[in-house]
Amino acid sequence: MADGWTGKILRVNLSTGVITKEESSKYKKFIGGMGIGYKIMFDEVPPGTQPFDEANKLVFAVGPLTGSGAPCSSRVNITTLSTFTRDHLVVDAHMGGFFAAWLKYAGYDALVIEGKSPKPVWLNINDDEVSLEDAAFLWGKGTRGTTDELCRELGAETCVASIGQAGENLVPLSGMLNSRNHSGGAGTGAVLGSKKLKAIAIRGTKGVNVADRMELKRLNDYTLTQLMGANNNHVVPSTPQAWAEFSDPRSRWTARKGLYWGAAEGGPIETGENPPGNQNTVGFRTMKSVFDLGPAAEKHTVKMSGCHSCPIRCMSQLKVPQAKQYGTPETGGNTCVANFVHTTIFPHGPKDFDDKGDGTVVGNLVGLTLFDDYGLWCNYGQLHRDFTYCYEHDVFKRVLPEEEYNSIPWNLLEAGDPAFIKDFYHRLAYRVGELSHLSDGSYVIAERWKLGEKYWADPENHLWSTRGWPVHHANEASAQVGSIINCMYNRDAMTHTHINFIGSGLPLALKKEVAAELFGSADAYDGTKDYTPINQYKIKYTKWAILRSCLHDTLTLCNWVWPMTVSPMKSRSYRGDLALEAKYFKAVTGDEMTEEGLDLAAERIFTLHRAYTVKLLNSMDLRNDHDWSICAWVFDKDPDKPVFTKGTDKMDQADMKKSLTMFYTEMGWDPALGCPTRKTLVRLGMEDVADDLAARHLLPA
Amino acid sequence: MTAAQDEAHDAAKTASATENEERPDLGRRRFLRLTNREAQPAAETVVPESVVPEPVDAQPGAITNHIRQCSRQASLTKRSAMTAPPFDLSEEKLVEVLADIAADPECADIVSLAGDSDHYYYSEKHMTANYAGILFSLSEKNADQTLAEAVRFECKTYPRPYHVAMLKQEPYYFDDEKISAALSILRSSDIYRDIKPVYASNGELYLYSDITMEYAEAQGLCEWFEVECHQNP
Repeated sequence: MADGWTGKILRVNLSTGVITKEESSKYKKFIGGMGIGYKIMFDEVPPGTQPFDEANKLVFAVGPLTGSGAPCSSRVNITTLSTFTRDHLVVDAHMGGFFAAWLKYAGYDALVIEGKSPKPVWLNINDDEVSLEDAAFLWGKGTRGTTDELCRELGAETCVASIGQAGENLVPLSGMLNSRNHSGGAGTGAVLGSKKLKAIAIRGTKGVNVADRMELKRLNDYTLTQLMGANNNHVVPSTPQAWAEFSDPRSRWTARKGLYWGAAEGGPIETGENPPGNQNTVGFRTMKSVFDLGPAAEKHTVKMSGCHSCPIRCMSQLKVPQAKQYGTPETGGNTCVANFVHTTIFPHGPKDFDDKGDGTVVGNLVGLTLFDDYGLWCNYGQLHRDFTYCYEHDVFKRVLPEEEYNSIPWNLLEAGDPAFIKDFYHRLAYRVGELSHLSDGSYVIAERWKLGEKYWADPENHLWSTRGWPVHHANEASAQVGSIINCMYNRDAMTHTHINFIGSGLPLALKKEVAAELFGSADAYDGTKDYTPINQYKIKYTKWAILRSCLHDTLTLCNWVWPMTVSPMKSRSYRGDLALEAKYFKAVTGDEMTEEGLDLAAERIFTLHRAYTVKLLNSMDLRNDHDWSICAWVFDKDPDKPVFTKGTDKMDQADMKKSLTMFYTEMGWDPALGCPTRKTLVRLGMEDVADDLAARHLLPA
Repeated sequence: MTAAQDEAHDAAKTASATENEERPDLGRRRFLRLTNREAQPAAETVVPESVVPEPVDAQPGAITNHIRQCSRQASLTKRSAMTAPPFDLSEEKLVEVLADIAADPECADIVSLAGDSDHYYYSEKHMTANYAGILFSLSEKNADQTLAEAVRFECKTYPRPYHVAMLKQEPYYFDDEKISAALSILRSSDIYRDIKPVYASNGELYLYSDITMEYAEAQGLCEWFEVECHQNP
């Protein structure tokens, strides 16, 4: 075992039942996580493979920082083929919770799942002892029931990742849950279901070897006292506070006097003011329950929880007695979209119960409990937006058989009653009727239900790509920067580097100063809805944002907090520390490393993603066959406002085409086609990838 | 110890453990106030004059410590408070003490703000100028002036339109009636003609100053804050 890495990859072939262990050091230049995932998929899963084929694989991979004690490091990157977007290209799910750290403590840098089991099984990992077990008694259960059963057998300290009925029934929009309420989506639930792998249980006792523990402790103190703010590294509070020079009502640093965890055991606990400098109060800063669900959530908040080794605690733990009347537990929680998306389908909003606004709290707890138990996944809210679109445009009336249409309790929908959600999610998870195809994803329903151009062009529907994924910090997040990022992946972009910086809460002038230092000019950074045409500095900003998120999914660190671009400290002039990842890397692994060295590794990994996309699509022309699938509303919204004027975030087609050319050039890709060149692949140490593509006639001349 | 004694001992231990499990671990809550909000509302504003209950030695050190303590507790210190108990300084002595503070490099963090009704002091080690400015405005100015300043500051600094509902939060704590009255004055007075309303599509009211922000920008931003942001969080 080396410092940082465990040195081993666990490979489980479900077709043969053979379990093997192999050295992970051969993947060292890809570091871990996403890097290992892409490399294994590129080498082992050939073009033409479909997501539910025996030949498809899932790679669960962690990195040298995972579980090391570095903050926010319990993230596992799960790579497989997409179940829900056009052409089923490679995607990643990103799962927090405890699974990642436990995998590492059991002694593995990655877990490769391949083949197909003839019958339902679960995987039992107990340090070096690994076995496949009969899952007949688990098949048909939800993720919570499965976790309960396995923890009862193996002990409460066991970490279980499980699929629910949605995964078993091959619902394309499905995922898995670990540690009860930490989700990983992107269709991975259905891929596991196709392989009949119900759950993975891990007990790990080995820890992670750290090269310089004193330095790791020093870095943790430094990070928590000087660099880290709140969730998404928002560095100013949401209300004016005496210690704070700035504030922002949209900041996730919601702690303030008079805001309580109202349902805390032993009595309410005040979040209070938590100025930077005291690492013991960082966990009070983000009260995501109120941020996501509104002020009515305050009295229902037991505490804020989160992943292993994370001081931020962005996951709400709620106690909502009214939920019991819907047959769901009164306690539960999650974070972000999973926390609040469920009641968005109600055309008139959710019905309230005892207090003004508590319908959002009750409806969403009922919704998320069922959603997570079934193991459904919402595609960043697109499932619910698609429902709304189809309801408002009478699509259901048109495409559902009359008997099915009449069996749906539309009156409960109109009334904002959580009982509708219960009925709706059951249909999705068990694939009941035509309605259930909503969870096939946007691309499939657009074809199946002939939704036409206006579906893709509807700005309310927030679809980014006609390949079937929605916006995720796109044109509204630094104009061309977010737009290019949203073109690059094969699902919604899970890149938060740029939005963390944008949403930090600091004044525009300060952000422009920081941008000038990082990217060469203040012109790199546009204020929200005050855009300028593309320039080279924005391209550098784009590249940095993508590479940092790749790096975080590789090391692994949470990109919902990292990087430390800015700081809450006025004494630091609000400057963060972007060499911090390299400092942690050196402290944990003992290997000399610089910021530039890690950036280069991230460039290698992102270019490998691009190369694999070329290979799977069997096309070099990614510009036209992949990237230029942007939905029309991005260019057509705000018809009364000209592009590049204040108040609009619409984009200009010619400018976007130029932006892509500049970005391809910056990445060393073919500027016309947008695919990697041999020269770039060789520069990044991937001659084998270049040879593979060349043999398939997929390298530009 | 007999078997019965063992059982009794175990039972007592179990009861004690259960009791302890049910009781909050006060040691882990040393930074917090355990309180029943119904019985004892939190977020009390600490009144500077009541911070020091006993007469004190009115030396510059005591005064600066008092100012710093008030700043830590998010309050300005009024000049007039120093001539009242517990300091009870004469005007002559107060002038002398304040001059000493102004001249002492170790008191360089003490900042004064001159108002019409009083002078105010704070420590910039514990309170930022922006926050002190809000408190100063709350003490010295009408609600409409305070609101107009907040709107102009936000539009110039961040820039963003001002969400009027923020007036209900700290440190303003305005009620609906006070907000409504301030808005009414803003609408009718010439000195506030730069302050304009703008609404998001969900009906939320924002204000902006057209000195530093155009309507289109204000409208686009408030729509982003209120509606679009929630769809792309």
